[in-house]
Amino acid sequence: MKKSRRAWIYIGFVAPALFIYLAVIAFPVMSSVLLSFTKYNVYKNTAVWIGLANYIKIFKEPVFWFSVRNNLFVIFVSVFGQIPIGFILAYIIYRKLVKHRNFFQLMVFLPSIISTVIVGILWSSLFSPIGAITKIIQSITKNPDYVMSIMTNKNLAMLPIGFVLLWMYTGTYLIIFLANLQNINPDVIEAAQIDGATNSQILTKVIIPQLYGVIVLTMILAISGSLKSFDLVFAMTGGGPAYYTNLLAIYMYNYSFIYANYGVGSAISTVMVFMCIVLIFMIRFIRSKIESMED
Amino acid sequence: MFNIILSIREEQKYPTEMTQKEIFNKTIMYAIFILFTALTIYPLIWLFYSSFKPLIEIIKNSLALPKKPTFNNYIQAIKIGKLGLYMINSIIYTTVSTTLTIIFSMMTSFAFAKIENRATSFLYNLFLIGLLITIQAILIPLFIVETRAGLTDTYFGVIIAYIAINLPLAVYLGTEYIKKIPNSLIEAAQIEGATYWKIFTSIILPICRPVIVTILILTSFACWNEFILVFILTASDRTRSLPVGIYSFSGPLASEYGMQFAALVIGITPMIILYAIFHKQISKGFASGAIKG
Repeated sequence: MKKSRRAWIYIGFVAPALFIYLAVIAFPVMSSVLLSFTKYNVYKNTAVWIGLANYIKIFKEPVFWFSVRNNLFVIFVSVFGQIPIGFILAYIIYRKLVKHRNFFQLMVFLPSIISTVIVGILWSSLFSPIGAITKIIQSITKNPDYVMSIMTNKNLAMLPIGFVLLWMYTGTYLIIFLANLQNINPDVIEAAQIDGATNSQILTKVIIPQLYGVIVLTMILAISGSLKSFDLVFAMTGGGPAYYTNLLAIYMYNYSFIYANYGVGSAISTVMVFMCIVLIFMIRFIRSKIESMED
Repeated sequence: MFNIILSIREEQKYPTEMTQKEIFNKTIMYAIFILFTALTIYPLIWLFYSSFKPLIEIIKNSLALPKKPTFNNYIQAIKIGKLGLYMINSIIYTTVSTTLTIIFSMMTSFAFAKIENRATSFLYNLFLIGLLITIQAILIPLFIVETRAGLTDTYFGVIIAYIAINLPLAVYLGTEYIKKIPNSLIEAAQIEGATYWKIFTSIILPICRPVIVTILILTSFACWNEFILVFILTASDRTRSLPVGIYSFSGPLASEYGMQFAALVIGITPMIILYAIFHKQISKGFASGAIKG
């Protein structure tokens, strides 16, 4: 077959996906970065270059730093909550330490498949004054006047969100770890047992080293997932009370689609992408350090 | 649940086989799983029976079972909340976007993996960068462009965005899968005079069934549950989807708890039914799609 003909066939196969991808992802990402350096006029569709002014503006706002703090809290819950708990649960199932494993796995994973908006509304009603949690605490403490106020407390309002994040996503990590545990060659574990290794030695010396790749992967997943998370908190608290549960994505939404300030909105989303890249490089760096220490 | 308690008892009948420490560990492990199970099931059961309670009963005692169960909440939710219409829109978005994502991504993956071209490594990496892009990074320009082009509030405007956000993962999974198919299979077909299109449809696609199922599961869940894009790109009832419709119950209708609960049940039920039938495939799909980030 002629080379040029084959090139045309190649283009034919790639074109539909490439065209959509360029139009909806690649081009908008680049224009978003450019927009962040401009003052955009919605009605006239004009953009005036203003340099770093949008970035300086957001860095001076306490709401921005509140959102960063809350985003870091979400990352913390993912990396030190969802991932280790998900791993422990997966390990218990993998080593067949409990019965009814399929049933438990089914139940822990179930929240992951429900729409985040629905989960957000469901838990905000559970935590609300008329919700089940208030009523349960009332009957345990025998205090009928108790009112669940954690959702309106500016210092504590992130805690219920952290709890719901654990509730919703731990199952996803369970599934990921379990699939990778089951890929480990059972002969390796058997050999270690014959050599007289204890269970905890097998875990730390045989199993975990084989999972370094997956652990790094889940951390990258958790970080980028946490940075873009929007739906759950938007539906659960809307960022309130005031802005105490704002995430960067909600902060960005408010600037862009409530105040119609696209320049500042783009600056926030650019900061988000930048944070994501920096954190992922940090994780990769730590991983290579650990690996070189072991060698 | 009762079964589990029984099985713990059975194991405890033979203390000679297990040391105290082992029994303690087992109890802790069961306790953790039972806690997770209860935390999953209880809110859903509470939601389900509460959705049959009239508003006055919900406010009086939120824990009690319905005294006078009523379908009124559901009738109201469907009537006022237009959930029937939103459900149809969600089905359209999910099926059309998923089908087109699968077709386009498999075509691209086939070209990347099996038709030699110098552009492949650049284009493939371009798609892979998409795995790291957050939706927020495309939201504003996409909204501006779609507004200018008159695409906001249309099915097309939402579907094209859904295809695009799902393409990177689908292209990645497809390409890595097709790379593993031996070239000899394709060469043999070419000797017999088969065109690339023929090879794609009659050799590649049938072999790729497992990866297509994975893409199908991941993409359809992502589309069905997607919120922010459809929330911003649509403005009228005609084009809004179920998550946006249900979200509106937490706004002006927030104090209508009964209706809100009914709407949530309507939103959850299809997912639970699918999960009950296909849970093996679904958890496998999520595990192999774990590269997403």
